[in-house]
Amino acid sequence: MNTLSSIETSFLEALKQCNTDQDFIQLKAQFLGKKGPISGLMQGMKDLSHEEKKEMGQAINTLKNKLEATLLDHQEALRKKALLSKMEKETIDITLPGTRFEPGVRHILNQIIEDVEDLFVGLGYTVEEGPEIETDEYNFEKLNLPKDHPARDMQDSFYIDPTHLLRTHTSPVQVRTMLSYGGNKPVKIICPGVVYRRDDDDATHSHQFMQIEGLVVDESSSMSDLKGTLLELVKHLFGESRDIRLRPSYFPFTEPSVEVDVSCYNCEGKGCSICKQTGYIEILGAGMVNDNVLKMSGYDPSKYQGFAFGIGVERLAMLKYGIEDIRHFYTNDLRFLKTFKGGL
Amino acid sequence: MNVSFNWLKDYIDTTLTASEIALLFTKHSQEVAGVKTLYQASNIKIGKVLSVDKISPEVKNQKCLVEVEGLQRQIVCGAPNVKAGQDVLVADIGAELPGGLKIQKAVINGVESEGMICSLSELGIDKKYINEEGIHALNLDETYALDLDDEIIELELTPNRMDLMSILGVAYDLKAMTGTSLKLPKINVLESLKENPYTIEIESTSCDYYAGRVIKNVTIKESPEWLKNRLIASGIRPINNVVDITNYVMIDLGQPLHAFDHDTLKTNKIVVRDAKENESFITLDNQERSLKEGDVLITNGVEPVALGGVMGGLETEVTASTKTIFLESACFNPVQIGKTSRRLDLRSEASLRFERGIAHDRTKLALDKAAFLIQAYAGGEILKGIKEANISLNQPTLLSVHSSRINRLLGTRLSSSVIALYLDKLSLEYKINDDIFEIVIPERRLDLKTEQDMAEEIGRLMGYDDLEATLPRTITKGGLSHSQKLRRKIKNSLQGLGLNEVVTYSLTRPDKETPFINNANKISVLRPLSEENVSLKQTTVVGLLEVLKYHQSRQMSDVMIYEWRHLYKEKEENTLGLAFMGNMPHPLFKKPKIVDFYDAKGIVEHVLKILGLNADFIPLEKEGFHPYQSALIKVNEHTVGYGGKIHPDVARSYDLNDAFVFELNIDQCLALKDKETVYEPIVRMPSVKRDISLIMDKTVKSATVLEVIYKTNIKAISDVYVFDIYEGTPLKETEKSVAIRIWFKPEIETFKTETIDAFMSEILDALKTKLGLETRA
Repeated sequence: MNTLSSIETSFLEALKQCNTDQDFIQLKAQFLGKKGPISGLMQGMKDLSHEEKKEMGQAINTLKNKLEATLLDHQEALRKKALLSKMEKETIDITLPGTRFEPGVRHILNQIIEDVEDLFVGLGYTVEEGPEIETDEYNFEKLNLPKDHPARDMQDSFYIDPTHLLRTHTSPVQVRTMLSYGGNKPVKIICPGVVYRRDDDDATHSHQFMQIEGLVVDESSSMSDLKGTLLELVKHLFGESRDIRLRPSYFPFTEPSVEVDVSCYNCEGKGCSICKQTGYIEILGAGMVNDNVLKMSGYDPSKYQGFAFGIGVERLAMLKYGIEDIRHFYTNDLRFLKTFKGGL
Repeated sequence: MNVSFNWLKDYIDTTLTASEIALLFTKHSQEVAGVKTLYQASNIKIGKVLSVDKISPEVKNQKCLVEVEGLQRQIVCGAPNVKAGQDVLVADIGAELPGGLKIQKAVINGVESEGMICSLSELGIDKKYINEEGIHALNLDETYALDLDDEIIELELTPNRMDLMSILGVAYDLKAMTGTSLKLPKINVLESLKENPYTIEIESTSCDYYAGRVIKNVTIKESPEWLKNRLIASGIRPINNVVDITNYVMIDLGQPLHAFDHDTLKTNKIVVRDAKENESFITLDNQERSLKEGDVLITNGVEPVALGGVMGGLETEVTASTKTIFLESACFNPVQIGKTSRRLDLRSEASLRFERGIAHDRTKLALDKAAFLIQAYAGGEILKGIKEANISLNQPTLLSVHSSRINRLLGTRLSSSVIALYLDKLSLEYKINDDIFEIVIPERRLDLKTEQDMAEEIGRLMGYDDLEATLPRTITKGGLSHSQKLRRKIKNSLQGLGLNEVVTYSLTRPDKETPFINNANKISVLRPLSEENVSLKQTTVVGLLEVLKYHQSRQMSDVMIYEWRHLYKEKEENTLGLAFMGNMPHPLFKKPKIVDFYDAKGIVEHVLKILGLNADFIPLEKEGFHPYQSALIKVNEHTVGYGGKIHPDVARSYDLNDAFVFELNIDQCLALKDKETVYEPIVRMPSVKRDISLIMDKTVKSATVLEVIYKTNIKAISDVYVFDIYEGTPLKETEKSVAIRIWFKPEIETFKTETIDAFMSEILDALKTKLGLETRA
């Protein structure tokens, strides 16, 4: 047995000197090869008894396996070391920027529209769209704005011919949808889109702008439901801690009509320059759909009622981000557009 | 409507401040734009000028001895119209005037001065209300103390609330909010024994009622100070006592009045008739007006004397020498007055009231109040009797309102007794039976026509703050439509490729579009605001080029953008426009890649793939594009778009270098896609590819070559594409070498080499016989 341990000792000694693959091959041949000491011991076993043979054979095999395993471990350790030093030479400056794949950006107005669409889709609304060139009938008359109605003054319009104009609001889509529903099923829609007013362009006026309108018609939806719905919208847009205030107003297509103010997000309602010291900012108009509008769109007002609201998208963006000039939205300066690349 | 707080207090006692009332109105009635004082100055007092003396012969300024609040003081004044005996407005020491001037003790021309005698404009009164030069001499009167601190509540009226176009109406609404009772006017006109000599006839259908009084021997002069102040507070320029009183009563009661000089009327007769087409008439602003049939004319039976409800006539105007007045109070048809005043661009406080609708039961009251005030401030005798025509008093309007309907609309559970309380506050008379109210609608509130109108009245008075916030209970299946989802998908994808979305105006200058779309049927607006915004866009190209130009001129020359918009042709089409110039957004430290035709085309094809379409690009002939780098995009026989490199001349006109623009008609694309997705299992056997290289003339289009290969009808061909183009030595100047890869997909068993070889020789034969092409050695 002394011989076994001395073989191990001298193997380990020799192993220490091994640095290259060639060294390992040599060492393996020297100790574990046919002419090596292990083979020698095996050959010397023929003079031993059967019992002794068995015992000695096991001992030799154990040693052989041990030496092979040690050799492999050592070899692997050395390979890893070499790889590490190779990788070290591959050191790069990981603080340099990554390859630039500059993403484009959605126009901020469409980002807001899609955001509002998603909110209302979640509440069971569909998104309806329609033509921008409308008939006087759909844009005005069916919305309770007959010719010579004083409220028509509120909206100077671009007429194409005596009966066609660029829509002044997306309300005609509401009319079209109600008519297509045939007056006997509930309506829950929002209508985003481009609208036009005959205003000279300046910092706060644009002859073209975007609007999102909402309409619910069923057998029970009330002013309270309108208030709750708008509260959801305002919290979604301006934060959970926002509150709304409804003030009486007038629109020919709704009765009662209200203007809706949001509590000022800048001063928390204390009064500041953004809210003109009132604590509230006007953001949209709304109301209960006028019975005449329901009737003209095929809904029986003795059975059906509902609410509608309309919000200007540019105004929303201007309030939310403090944008000072509405013309920025239509100038399309990439520096402006990319301000909103991080989303809303 | 600007409401003088002091005037309002003639009708209602209140402990509220003007600002508190403003807040109440904003919450429960009409938005208040602001509250301001009549004089934009502090510390203003009334003084009496006792004496005026020269300081020295060469100095214009004079020293005045003025009594202010019982004390005498010396004030230096430069206005030549200052005179002893005048009551004047004095800015006391410490006063601050508009523009920031602060009044302090001073020595002027060696004379001490304590304060300043003011002109109205120095106190912030707009020049349009001032008829005088120099300091303002007050015309004081015992009826009303002069309240220098009157406040003005600026009500922003919506068109439905005609009732708030009078101080009395505003008082009614304040009463509805506070419950305080009203002090209603009672007028006792002292008539003489002489009979009003007029006869009134109405021939026009646009005049519902006409009444007149005559006041003899009046003295036309300046109005008392309080009256002028109230008019200025209401935004009306004082003129003379009679005219001012007609305006005053209009603001007070909402009934417009008109005073004629009786002596110029000549006939003791009023005939109201419709104007004849093209009849002309000179209004009191000395303008000759051309009338249309339907305009209402007040005549003396012979000739017109006033344009009814809009403006009086020049010839019968009240002047300084007027002695006798014929005072008109009438009701005109709102629609007709609206039409006439809009057409003639003559919108006055009177026409506005007629247009919105006036309370007919105040017509006579207003006439009496004005007569009473004229007698008080212009003297004279009121002749006996009102002469009138069309005395068909409206039957009281009744409105049935169910409590349940109010509650259903508002989402409330108000009892009928609570609703009754609000009706009381609104001073409405009603009967109630089984939760149904029979409400008598007064003349002043004819805007209340439906149950919805009453729901608004109850709702606003209750205050919407008290309304619960709930959500609709109807469950509906919401969601985006297929095309809406696809639009988002395409936009997301373009965004991922680095394109930015732009939104441009829909109106453009039509000639700008000519190089890109030659359509005679432009749709234009009738009254454009500028020549740049005349016709509706029929191409996206112009708008996109303008955005490129904007950036190029600001040294931002690498731009990739898209716009999704309607184009307005026979119908409105959803269209996607894409534009490129300069470098692609390139990796840092790597060589920039300048956008070329194929980059742009690749992005167009990418969009088409999302739409499930394969398109052919065939040469395009449009003058706005490069003739050899532009294409019409076709799917089968349908044109779905066009685009390419912008013609160098056109690019230069936009100050651009190379630019590429493509346009896709999305509606057309969506209509063409009808294929359902079909599942095909992955073939386990390997596909086999073969590459060939063909030398051909540069003018040969690769699509032609590929088509020949496809047309061999070898079913196993799964894909064929060009993967390399080579031009240069050793090829001839006119030649190019095109490397094509052909993929074969096995169906049943792995291909044998001989099979592929057979396919290839069939392909090469076809190329040789059809195009005369041979593979490169």
